[in-house]
Amino acid sequence: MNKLNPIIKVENLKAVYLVREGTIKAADGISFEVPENSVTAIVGESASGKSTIIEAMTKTLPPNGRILSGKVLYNGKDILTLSNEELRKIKWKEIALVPQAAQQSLNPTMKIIDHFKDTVEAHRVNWSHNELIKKASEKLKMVRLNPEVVLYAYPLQLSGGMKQRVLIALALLMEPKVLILDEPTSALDVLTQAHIIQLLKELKKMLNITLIFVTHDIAVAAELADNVAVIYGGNLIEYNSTFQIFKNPLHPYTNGLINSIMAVNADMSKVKPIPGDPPSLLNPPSGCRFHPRCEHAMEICKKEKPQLIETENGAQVACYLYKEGGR
Amino acid sequence: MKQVIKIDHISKIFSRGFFKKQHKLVLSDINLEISQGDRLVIVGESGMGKTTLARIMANLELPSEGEVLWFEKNIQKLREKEKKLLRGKVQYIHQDPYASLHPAKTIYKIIADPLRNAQKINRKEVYEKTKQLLEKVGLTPAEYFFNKYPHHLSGGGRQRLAIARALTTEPQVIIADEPISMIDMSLRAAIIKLFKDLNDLYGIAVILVLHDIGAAKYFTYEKGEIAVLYGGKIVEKGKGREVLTNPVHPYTKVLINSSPIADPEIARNRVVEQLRSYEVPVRTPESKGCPFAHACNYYTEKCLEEDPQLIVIDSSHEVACHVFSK
Repeated sequence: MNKLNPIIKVENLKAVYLVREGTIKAADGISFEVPENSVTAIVGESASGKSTIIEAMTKTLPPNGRILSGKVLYNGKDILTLSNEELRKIKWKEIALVPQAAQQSLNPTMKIIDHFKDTVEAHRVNWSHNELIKKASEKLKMVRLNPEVVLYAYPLQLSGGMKQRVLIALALLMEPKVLILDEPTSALDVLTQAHIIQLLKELKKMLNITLIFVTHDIAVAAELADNVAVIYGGNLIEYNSTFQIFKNPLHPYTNGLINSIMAVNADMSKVKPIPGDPPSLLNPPSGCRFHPRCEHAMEICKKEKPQLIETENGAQVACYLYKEGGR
Repeated sequence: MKQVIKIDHISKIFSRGFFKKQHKLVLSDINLEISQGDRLVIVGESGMGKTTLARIMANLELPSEGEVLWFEKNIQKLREKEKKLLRGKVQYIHQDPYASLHPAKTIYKIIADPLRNAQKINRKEVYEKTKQLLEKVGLTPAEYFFNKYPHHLSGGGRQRLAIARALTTEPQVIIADEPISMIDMSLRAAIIKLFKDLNDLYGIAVILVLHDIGAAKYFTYEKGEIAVLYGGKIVEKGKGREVLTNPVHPYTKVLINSSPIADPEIARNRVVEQLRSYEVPVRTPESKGCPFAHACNYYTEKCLEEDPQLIVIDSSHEVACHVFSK
């Protein structure tokens, strides 16, 4: 794994949600580095805390979310301690977030062009109307949309794939260096999903940007990512290059996840589901959060939470089956 | 084998508007036959009519044209009493287990209530049967779940509960609409496995509506058929293995080729064919030509004019395409 020039460094990030029943420990001490000009996938099941990580990184947590501790370093600056005005200078111009299209991220009463206008105004850039249209058209063409049609359309006139592409174009408006995407392909059809993946690959090549995306589908990570971070129950349990993750998964959960994929090319006699259910983050299991479902569980797994260690090959894994520097 | 469901030249038209009626052809001329102990997968993208087809099969929706036969009887012509008798033999499982279960009923009641309705049994037997059903779908130990509510379960657990509820009437056919689309990745294979087990162990015919080709392959790996739906038409039909390894229709090919592959080396080196359009076709009863013609890379003049019919190209493999079905 390329360790040079981390553009974003997350250190011991802890975030919780306050709910009536208690606190949901959605990110429990997450640390990782994102190398510059790479594609990093954050993979996990629903409610594993994967979206919390990127929301905490961009300070866009919902009102009941709290960041307890940790640092998010962007070029050496801690984003979490910046004031709103300073943050405004970084957001969109340096780091842009593409929310999930399925969650109705676009305002249904506004035309697409007004979304672009709003974004520009919010970031205090003085572009003339013509300049704005020129730049917006350029970005829409980049995502293979026809600007003449799309700019003056309402979101309801666009299909799911088109909305997702509009959101990507909107995020690219101020030429950010880092693009963070939340589930870019979920809730899309198979063909549209393949189309968006292809598009992201091309954008990456064309613009030389750093991509971080969250997905629940590890097969999408196989197509797009250079590095994969696997999240389980609010913990980072494995971080490695994509090729290593798929060829030589270390953590039993990663292994189980890969074996449970029903891909078209997979040997169907070898598909094996993971037994049990994902943990509740309101009341997570003691020790390693995977131990109730793990076939290799030992006594120590039930008592103490394993730390993320680095093995000989540079992989990072949090499991007692592996030793620091060993394999 | 005894035939359980047969749909015969089914069409469905949705109409709206009062002064100016607009008609939309959702399904056109569909024929399918399911026998006892069969597995069938209906695949396609959203907007292709998959759910409507499943609902017509389950008699939750009436077809505009054509007949639905359950156990060789036309259900629309049956008397209420007979219909009620057959109703329990065909069960439908809804897509979203977060919405299809009563939130204020305990898991015991969710199973026991329909059980009492469907079978004339006493209290002790109801208890025993409920326990058996929950264990059958993998919610073990059953007693642990009795006094819990659906919100205590994960998506996979809820879907298992919905399946257990469908089993209370001892059905011979289960129709499930996208049973895994709302469920976590690591639990999906387990749910499909459960359907396979129900089919193997109890001989229940299972019809799944899926958009995930990988899951369709997993389900029909040993046996079973796949029907590919595009624009309200079956464009390819046949043995699951045969269709997925030797797809003939250009849409089936693109669909299989676009599915994510969990191998970085293959995924990066393959070339995914780009279609001419990704729009969902809107068909009216007046539309002519192949519904896929607007997106197909191989279309000819004939495709725009004439709607291709399903042609048998191999034993148990049918394709509707002017260009490839020779």
